[in-house]
Amino acid sequence: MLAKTLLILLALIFLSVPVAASLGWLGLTLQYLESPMPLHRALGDIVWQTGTDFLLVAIPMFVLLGEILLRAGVTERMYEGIVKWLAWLPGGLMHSNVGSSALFAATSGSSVATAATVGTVALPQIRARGYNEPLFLGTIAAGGTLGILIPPSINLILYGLLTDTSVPELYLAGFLPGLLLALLFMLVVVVACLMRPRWGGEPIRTSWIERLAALPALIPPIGIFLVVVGSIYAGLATPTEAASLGVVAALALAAANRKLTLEMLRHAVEGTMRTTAMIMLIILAAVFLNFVLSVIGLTRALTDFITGLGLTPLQTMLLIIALLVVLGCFMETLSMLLTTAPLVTPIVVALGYDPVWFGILLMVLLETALITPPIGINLYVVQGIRPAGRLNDVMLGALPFVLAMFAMVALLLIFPQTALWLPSLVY
Amino acid sequence: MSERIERPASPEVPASLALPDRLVAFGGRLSRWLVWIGGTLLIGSALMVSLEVVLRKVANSSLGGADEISGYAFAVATALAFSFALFERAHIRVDALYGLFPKGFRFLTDLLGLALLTGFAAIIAWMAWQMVADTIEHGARSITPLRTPLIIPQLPWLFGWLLFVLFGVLLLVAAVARRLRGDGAGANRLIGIKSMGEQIEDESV
Repeated sequence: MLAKTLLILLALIFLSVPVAASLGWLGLTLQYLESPMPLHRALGDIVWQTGTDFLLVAIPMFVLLGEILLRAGVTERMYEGIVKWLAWLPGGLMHSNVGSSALFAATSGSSVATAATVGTVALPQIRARGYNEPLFLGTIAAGGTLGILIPPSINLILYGLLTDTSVPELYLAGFLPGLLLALLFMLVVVVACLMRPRWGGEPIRTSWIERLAALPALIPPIGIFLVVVGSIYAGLATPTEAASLGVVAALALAAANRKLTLEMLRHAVEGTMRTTAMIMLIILAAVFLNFVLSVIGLTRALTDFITGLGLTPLQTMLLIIALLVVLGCFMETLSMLLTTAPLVTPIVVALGYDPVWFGILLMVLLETALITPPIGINLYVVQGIRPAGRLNDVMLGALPFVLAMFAMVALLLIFPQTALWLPSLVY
Repeated sequence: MSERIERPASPEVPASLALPDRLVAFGGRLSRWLVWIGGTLLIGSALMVSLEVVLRKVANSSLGGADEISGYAFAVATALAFSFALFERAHIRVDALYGLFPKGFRFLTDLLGLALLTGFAAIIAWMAWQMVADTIEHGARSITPLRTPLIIPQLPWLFGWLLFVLFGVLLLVAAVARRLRGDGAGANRLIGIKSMGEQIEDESV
């Protein structure tokens, strides 16, 4: 049953059948082969119940929040503000790339939008200041992945939904590792530029006066972050309500910048609904597939199979991590999350690991998936906004940051408190 | 993003083959309108939910049911947006091997992918249809203080699913028609996998 399932899924996926249809037809086929009951009759109900779930309303809200902020004229100024604060480090603007990605990630959840936005502002500086091109591109590609981990992350909401884990707790848990990972990225840049000073480009000097003058540019993104994440932890709002507050705040911000026009809203809405429809169709199919998998007992069979291998929990964990890294080379992150989280999490919990901790670990692995070739969306995004050059430069430049992510995985394995300490203070 | 609505076929194409293209152009415009409606519902929900949060904290009172209503708005907006995502080729396909396939085979996977997507949507639409029929028969209402007559959100929701199926079939026909008259590139613009350049254009405008 396991082999059959895997075979059907891989065949559909690699024939480039849309991911939602792959998951849906896998569910329908398994039902036909393995279940005496017509499980597809539940589809109407599953699609309606999942489709109206208030928790999932957070998805379009966070996407909309990001779309509005992109068009509200805050990103460029935010980037310049961060330059003033971080560019004195060895590696100059590369730190601003990581820093503004992290800050942008803290206001919205989209990696593609983050990489595209920061990339567009930063790329002309490679030539202008003589940076090492691959490393510079790597900071943009890797920085863009932070959105998955740093709250408010849509991926954490989906993980929470599929594994019945508390989203606010996941958000708290993702906070420190997200910050640490950003620092690790910056450490990579510093080490590289100390070894090869020429990579770091022309140094940038800024004064404290300039730094203080740049602070107002950082207020809008930090303000939005405080509204969204703050309202959750102050006990004022659920994640969906917080996302709605964020949308209203972003609208107000756009209005204050005189960017709030009907035309702008139209584009924001089109982008939002395109992404939402795509995500939701996959989620609906994944929820149906989950239902089929649990009814035919496949989830149990997989757990029994893995625990029956006689490995220690740590060995099993390492095996799972290795499998996910390999899978991440070929699969796009969202599809990977939705197919693996419901199958793997029960195994991990059966081994005695904390589901909140595993959620964070999984996010870091998803981040590697975004920048590992041959299928790493962020590599292509960065390549796509370059005027010229080979894709190899981006892949090469992203490599040290993949290593930084592995270091983060090791940190999480050795010190689970990295993720669990903050939630333990509250829950 | 530019209005990337398909150009009408050139005049020398026989009317029988150009008809699918005209319908596709119409479908593209219609789906865009539906997305604007859905977006309005969504922004409305954001305002309503925010008001609810503020009222709850400040005045210790409540609108009541903001979560339920925004859930309906979400379901309707999503269902109405499926067709738009279809026309925009936004439904994710893994292209790890796609680039290695010969062109003819690539077109076959395009057709297979769209057929399976449309087929899956058709099964959902069929089940949704039965559910809505039940709702009508029993005059079902939500089991919440609002006691919403469920037919109000479910009807536009069903409409979205039906439209998704209809446009899926239409795109299949239109792509095959283009292919038959030798316009492989045109067929690819309808149902092929989007290149990264096209995707970035969408994401970063």
